[in-house]
Amino acid sequence: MNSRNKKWLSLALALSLTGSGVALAAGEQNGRITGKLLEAGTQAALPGVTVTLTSPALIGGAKVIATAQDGYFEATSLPPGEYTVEFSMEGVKPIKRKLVVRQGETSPLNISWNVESAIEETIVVEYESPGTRPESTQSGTVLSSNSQAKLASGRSYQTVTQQVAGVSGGANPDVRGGSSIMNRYMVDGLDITDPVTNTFSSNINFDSIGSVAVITGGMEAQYNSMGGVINLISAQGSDEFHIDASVYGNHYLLSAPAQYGSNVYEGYRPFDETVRPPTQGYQGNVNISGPILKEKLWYNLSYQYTNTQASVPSGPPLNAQGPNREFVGHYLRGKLVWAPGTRSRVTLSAMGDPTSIDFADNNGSFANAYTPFASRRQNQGGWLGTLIWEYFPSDATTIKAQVGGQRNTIEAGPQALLGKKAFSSQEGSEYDAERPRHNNADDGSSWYNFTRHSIDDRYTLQTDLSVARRGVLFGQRHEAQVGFQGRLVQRRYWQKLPGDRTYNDRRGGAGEAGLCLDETTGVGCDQYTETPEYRLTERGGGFGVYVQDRWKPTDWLTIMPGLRFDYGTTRDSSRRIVSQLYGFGPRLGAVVDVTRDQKTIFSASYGRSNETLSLLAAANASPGPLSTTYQYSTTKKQFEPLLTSGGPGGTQVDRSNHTSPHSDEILLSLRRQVAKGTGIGVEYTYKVLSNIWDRVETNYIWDPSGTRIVGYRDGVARSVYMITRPEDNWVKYQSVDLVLDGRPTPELEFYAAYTLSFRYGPGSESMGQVGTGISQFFNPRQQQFFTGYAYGDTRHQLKFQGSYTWKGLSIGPGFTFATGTPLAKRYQTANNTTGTILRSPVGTTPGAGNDPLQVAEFRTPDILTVNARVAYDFEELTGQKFTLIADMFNLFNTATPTALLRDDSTILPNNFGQVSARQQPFRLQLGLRYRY
Amino acid sequence: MRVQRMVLSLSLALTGLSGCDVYERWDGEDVNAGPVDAQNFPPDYLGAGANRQRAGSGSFTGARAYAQELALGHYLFSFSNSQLTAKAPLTPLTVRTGDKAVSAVPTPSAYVFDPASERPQCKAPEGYEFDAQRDDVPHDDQGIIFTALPATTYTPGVEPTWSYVPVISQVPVESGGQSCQGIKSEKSLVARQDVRVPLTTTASGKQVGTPDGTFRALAIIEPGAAVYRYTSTSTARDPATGVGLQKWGWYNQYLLAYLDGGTIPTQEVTVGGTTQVRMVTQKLYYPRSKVTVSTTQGLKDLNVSVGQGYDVVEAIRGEPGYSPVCEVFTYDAGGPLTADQLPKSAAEVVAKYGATLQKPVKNFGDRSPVGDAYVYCLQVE
Repeated sequence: MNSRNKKWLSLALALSLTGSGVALAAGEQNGRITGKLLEAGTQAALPGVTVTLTSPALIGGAKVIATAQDGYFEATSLPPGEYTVEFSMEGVKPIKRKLVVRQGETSPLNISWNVESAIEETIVVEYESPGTRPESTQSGTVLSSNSQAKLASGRSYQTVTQQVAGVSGGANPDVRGGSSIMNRYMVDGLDITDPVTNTFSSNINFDSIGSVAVITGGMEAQYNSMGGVINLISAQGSDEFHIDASVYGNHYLLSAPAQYGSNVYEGYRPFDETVRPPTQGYQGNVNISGPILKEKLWYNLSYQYTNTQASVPSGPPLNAQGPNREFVGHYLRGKLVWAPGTRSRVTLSAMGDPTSIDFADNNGSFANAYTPFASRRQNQGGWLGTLIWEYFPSDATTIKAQVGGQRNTIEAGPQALLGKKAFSSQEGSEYDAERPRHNNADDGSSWYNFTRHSIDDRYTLQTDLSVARRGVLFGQRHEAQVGFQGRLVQRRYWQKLPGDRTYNDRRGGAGEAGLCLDETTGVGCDQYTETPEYRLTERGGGFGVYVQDRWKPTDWLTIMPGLRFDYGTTRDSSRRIVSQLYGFGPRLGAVVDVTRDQKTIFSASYGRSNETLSLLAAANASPGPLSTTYQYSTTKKQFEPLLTSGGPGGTQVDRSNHTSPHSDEILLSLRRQVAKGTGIGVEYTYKVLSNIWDRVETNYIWDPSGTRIVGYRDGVARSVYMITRPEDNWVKYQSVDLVLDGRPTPELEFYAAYTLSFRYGPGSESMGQVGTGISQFFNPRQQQFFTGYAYGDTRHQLKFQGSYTWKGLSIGPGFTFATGTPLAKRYQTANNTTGTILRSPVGTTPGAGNDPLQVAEFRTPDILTVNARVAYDFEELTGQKFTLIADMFNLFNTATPTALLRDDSTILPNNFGQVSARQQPFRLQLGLRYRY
Repeated sequence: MRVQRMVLSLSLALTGLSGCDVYERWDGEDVNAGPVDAQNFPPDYLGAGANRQRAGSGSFTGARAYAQELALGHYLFSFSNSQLTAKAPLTPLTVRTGDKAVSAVPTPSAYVFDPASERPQCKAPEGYEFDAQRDDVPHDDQGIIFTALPATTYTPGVEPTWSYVPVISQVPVESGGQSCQGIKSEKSLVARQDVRVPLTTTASGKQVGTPDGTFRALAIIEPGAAVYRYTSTSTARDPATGVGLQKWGWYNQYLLAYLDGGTIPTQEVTVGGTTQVRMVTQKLYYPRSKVTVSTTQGLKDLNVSVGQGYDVVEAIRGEPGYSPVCEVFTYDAGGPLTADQLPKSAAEVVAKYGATLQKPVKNFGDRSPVGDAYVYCLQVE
C-alpha cells in the first residue's frame, strides 16, 4: 500500500468509527504543544530531531516524538502543567525550553536552533508564549489553580467563572447570551450538568481543582452547549508526595454591619443597633497527593469542610429575628492516575458532596416572612465517578474512552422535620408534621410548616468515546477527530404536603390572627390547595456523534470544519414520550496567522448547538397529582371546589415537532501579542437562541384585558399546558469583548476585560426557570410585553484580576463592574390563579400609567465590587511553605442594591422599587495555608 | 494602532447592529399597550368590592329598576360635585354654552367609527371569526377612540373626589378600508389617510377631531372588572364570564372597557342671549317611605335609596323618552310596602303618589349618588 492510500485509510478508519459507536470525549482535559524546528541560520526545517517532553504532570515517563520533514512537531494529550521540551540530535548539544500547557489549548513552540554551535551550553529557557491562542477559534480562558491562589474569590468553581469576559449573572452564569440554564458543566470529562435544571450539580473542594476552562464561544464539534462550557479538571498526583492544607475564617466581627435603609437612595443606618445572628463562614481543607508507584500510579485525595452562615436583619412582616441560614458542606474527592505502559493512561476520579442547609431561605427577605416552623431545610449532594482510558497506539493516534455516572439528590422539607428541632418551643407550640402551611397574603407571612417534603433524585450515566488521528493528506496537515457521546438520565421525585394542603389566606389581617383557622368564622379564609402525596419518574437518553477536522493548508491558516448530530428522547412519569429531538450542528472555523509569527491572529467561526436531551420538559410534562383549589364561600361559610390542576390531561406534548432548542453563533476574533506573554484581543459575537423550551397554556379563556380567566376551552376548570419549543421563543445576543490577558513576568499576572453587549428578544423564560416568573405563553393578552431587552442583558462589564508577587508577598486585587440588568414591574390581579400581569415590556415600568411615552427601563443598579488578597509566603523565612492570607471582599463597603422589589403589591403597598437585597458588606477573611 | 482601529470599528459595527428594533412587538403607534391601568380611577368606576391595586377585583351589577311594568337593570354613576353645584345661568345639565364646553362638565371627545352604520366599516382579516381564546377584542370591529380617562387622586385619610362624568362628545370617523382595531389612539387616528375625520386645529397647533354635537353616555370602567346584568336571583351571574355587556375601546393605545348608555338627548336653551346645550333627562323615582325587606333576621322595614332595586324610570332604552341621565324624585307610598306592592311604572308612581313627589336631599359628606338630584342611569344593550 502506498503512503497516499495509507493516509486515506487512516482518515476513513477514523471516520468509520462514528457509525460503529466509538467516539470522543466531551470535555477536553488535555493540552498540546505544536511548533516548528528550524535551523537558525538558514531557516531550513530540521526533520528527525528527537523531541522529549517531561513534566511533573506527565505520568508514565517522558513523551518522545520526532520532528516531521518540515520540522513540524506536535505533542498531544498532554495533561495540563509545566513542561520541559528538549530537542536533541546526535552530535549536537540539546536545547531545552520550558512552557505551560493549559487544558484545551495549544501551546505554540517555534524554535530556531543553531545546530552548529555545538559548544553551546544547554540552557532551559522559559518560552515566551504569544498569548494569542494561535490554533483555536474558541473564546474564553483557563483559570489555573496557581493564578486563583493569588486572588480573593468565592473559592468555588462556580464563582470564579465570573472573572471571564462575556460571563455575567450568578453561580449559574449567563455566558455570551445563553441563559443560566444553557451551560454545560464538566468535571474530569464527565458532564455533571443537572439533567433537569441544566445547572451545576456538584460542589467541589476548591483547592483540589487543577484548572477550570471557561469556554464562552467558538466551540469545536466535541462541545454541544447553547451557553458556555465550564470544564473543570481536578488535581492529580505526581511522583512527589504533597500536602496542601488550609483553613479560612470569616468571623462576623471582621465584617461591616449591614443595617441599611430600604430605598435605593438610603444608606447605612448609624443608629440602628439591631443585634442579629452573624453572617460568617469557615472553611478547612486538606489535599494529599503523591505516588503509589512512581511513574505508574498516582493518587490525590482531598476533603473540604465548609460552614457558611447568613442572616438578614429583622423586619416586616414578622419583625422577629429569623434564625441563621447555615450551610454545611463536606466535599470529598479522590483521583487515581495509572499508566500501565508508555502508551496508555487510566484515570479514575470520584467525588461526593453531602451538604445540609438549615433555614435554607433565610438569607433573604423570606427570613422575615417565614416563621421558623415554616422554614425549609435542604439536604443535598451526591456522588460522581468517572473512569477514563486514553490509549496512544502511535504518535499520530489517540483513542479515548470514558464512562461515568452521577447521582445527585435534593431533599427539601420542613425544618423541624429534617433539621434542628431545638427551636420548636420558640413558637409556643409543638411542631406538628401534619399541620398544613398557611400563607397570609395580607402581610406575606407563612406559618406552621414548610409547603412540602420532597426528595428529588437525579441520575446520569455517560459514555464518551473518541479517536483522533493526525496525518498529512495531499501534503496538508489534518487532525481528524470522531466521537460518540452517550447519556442516560433519570429523575425520581417524591413529594408530600403537610396535611396534604396549603392555605392561602387573605383579608383576615396581618399575622397569625389573620389566618383561616376556623371556617365557621371565615376570618382570613380565601383559598387552599389540596395535593395528595405523589411520585414521579422521568427518563431520557440521547447521543451525539461528531467529526471535527483541524486542517492546515498552510502554516498561517487553520481551517476547522466540523459537524455533529445529536439526538435525545425523554419520557415523563406516565411513560409518555415528551420529546424526540434531533439536530445537526455544523461548525466551521478558520484561524489566520496574520503576521505569520503567531503574534497576530484573526479567527472566525460559525457553530450551531442543539439541546436535544433535557428532563426539564419531561418534569414539566409529568401529569403529577390532581391538585384541587378550594375557594371559601362567605355565604355558605365553607370551602368549595374552584379549579383543578395537574393530573392526567394537565399537560400535552408536541410529539410531531422534532426541532430542538438551538443556538447559532458567529464569532470574530482578533488577537495580538502586545508584550511578553501578553495578548490583547477583541471579539465580536452574534448569537441567536431559538426554540427555547416553554410551556404554552392552551385551556384558559381570558377576558379581553387579560386579567381574569373567564372560561375554559375544554369546559373543565383547569390549566392545560403544551410542553413545546415555540418558534417565537427566541433571544438574540451581540457583544464586543476586549480582553487583555498576560503574564509578562513570573511575578506579574493580570486579566482585564471589557464587554459591551446587548441581549434582547421575547424568550426570557423557560418554563419558569428564569425571567419574570410569567411566561409569555401563559396569557396571550400579555404577549406584546415580552419584547425588548431580555433578562440578563448587561450593557457594560469591566473586569480585572491581577496579582504581583515580591519576595513572598503577593497582592491580588480584582474588581468587577457591571451595569444593571432588566427587571419587570409586575402588577397583582385579584385572582390567585392569574397571579400577576405586566403593563409594559419586560425590563421596563409603565411609569405614570397609560402613556406609552412614560414607559421607562427598569434595571438593577450598576454594581462595582472590589476585592483583594494579600498573602505572605513564609518559605523564605522558615523554609516551610506557610502562607498567611487576608482576603478583603467589597473593599469599599459599597452597599449597592442587587435586587429590587418589582411588584406593585397590596402586601406592604407602595414598596415597589425598594431594595430587597444588597451587596454583602465589607468582610475580611483570614486564611492559613500549608503546602509540602 | 492597528489593534486600536480594529477595536473601534468593531465597536461601532456592534452599536450599529444593536440599533435594530429590540422592541419589535411594541412597535409603532398602533401597538396594543395592554389594558388601561385603573389604579387612579374613581371608586365608582372600579366596581363593587374593588381594590384599585388588584386588577379585576371589582364588578358591576345592574341595579334593578322598573319601567313600564318591566324589570330591567341600570348602572348608576353620580354627577360630579362641580356639575351638581353649577351656578346660574348654568345648570347641572348644561354641557355647552355657546360653542364652548362647560368646564365643570368635562365632555372629552371620543372618535366613533361610522356612527350611522350598524358597525364600523373597517376591514377584517380574511375569513375572520372571533375566537374568544385567541382574540382580546373582535377584529371585525373598531373600538371607539377615547381621549380622556376617569381619574382621581388618592390621599390617605382623604375621601377621593373627581370631576369625571361618563359623557363624551362624539367625533364621527368615516372608515376608508382601514384594518379593524388598527387604530388605537387619537394621535394615530388624526394622522391616518385611510379614514376621514373632521379636524380642528387647536391653539397649540395640534389637530383634533371636531365633535358633531352628539353626546353619549359612555362610562369608562376598570377593564378587568366583571359586568353583570340585573337578574332576579341574587346568586346568578349573567353573563357568567362577566364579559359581554361592556364594550371595548382604546385610549392612547391602551385597551379600555366602557358601559354604553347610548346617546344623550339634548336641547338648546337660550339664556341671557347665550345658547346653552343641556342634557335631557328622564325621571327616576324611588320610595322615601320604608320598604318591607326580607333579611336574614326576617322581614324588616327599611329606608331605601336610589340603586337599591326599587327605582322606577320612565323609559326603556330604545324607546322614546329614554335618556341615560336621570332626574331623581322620591315618593311617599304611605307606609311600609313590599317590593311587589311598590309601583312598577312611572305612570303608576305619578298616578298613585304624584302629590308626594320630592327632590331627594343629600346627606352631608355622602359621596354616593344617594340624595343627588341627578344621576347617570345607563341602560346597556
